[in-house]
Amino acid sequence: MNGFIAPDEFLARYITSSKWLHKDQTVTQNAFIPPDSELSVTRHLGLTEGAIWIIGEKIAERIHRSLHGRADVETSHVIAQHLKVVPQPEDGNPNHANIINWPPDKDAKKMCALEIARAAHFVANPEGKV
Amino acid sequence: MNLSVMMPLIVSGYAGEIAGFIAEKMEDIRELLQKSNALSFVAKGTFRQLDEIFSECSLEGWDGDKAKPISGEVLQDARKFLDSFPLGIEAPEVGAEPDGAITLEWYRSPNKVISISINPDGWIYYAALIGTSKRHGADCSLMGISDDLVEMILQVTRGN
Repeated sequence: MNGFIAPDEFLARYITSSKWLHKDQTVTQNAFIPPDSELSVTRHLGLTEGAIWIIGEKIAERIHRSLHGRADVETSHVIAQHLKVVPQPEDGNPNHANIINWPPDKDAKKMCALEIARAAHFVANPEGKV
Repeated sequence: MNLSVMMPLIVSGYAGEIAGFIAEKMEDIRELLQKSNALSFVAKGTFRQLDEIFSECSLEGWDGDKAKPISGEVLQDARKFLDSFPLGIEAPEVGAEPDGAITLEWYRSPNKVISISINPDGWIYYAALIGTSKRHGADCSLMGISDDLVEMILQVTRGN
């Protein structure tokens, strides 16, 4: 796995809650708030469209939820918020990465998440219901 | 006794009683209207959405990753916070964040949005994008909604 993530690489955040979507099918900032110090994403790098969906389906199955889709965002938009993206391969997802370097204050985290959500593009799961 | 000196005192005392009475009644009306606003949130399903979010996100890892569960305390704080809203505020979209917070969001477009988090630490945190303006900050949730936040919500929702 390549340790360097280029600014023009695309990252996917899987959407497992319908409440992470607005009525106009844009993604809410909630999807980009980290549970602690890091936020899980999947790099598109080298994956086919089908392979990206298979990883998402496995994640949704694990929590018995529907995979509504994914939010795709270019790494440059994450870096623009002074955040870093680091590869963190996992079993079953060698393209797993973490967004780290979040500011300590929650309101500052929310502003970063709003900016990332603004730049993100929602792709509906072709097999699922949104 | 000099009546010209006494009269203003008598009048001002009487006026003071009337003013007090009016202020008391105004407060009663304000409380009544605020209750009706809370009832309006009930009618619009906001409180039902809070319960749905609580039941959907009350287990560890509800996002398929490391999300923290929404606690009963956060749910109660969100209810109390909504009860403090003044009349005329549009019902928000209710959501959850992976760090265990409940969110209230008013959204018109990616450039016109405000999100408020009711956090497990008893504080509320907000971030807003309103045109070219960016605002973020924190308030104590026990204090209810601030005038500043009300103004920001109105900036997002007014005029569509």
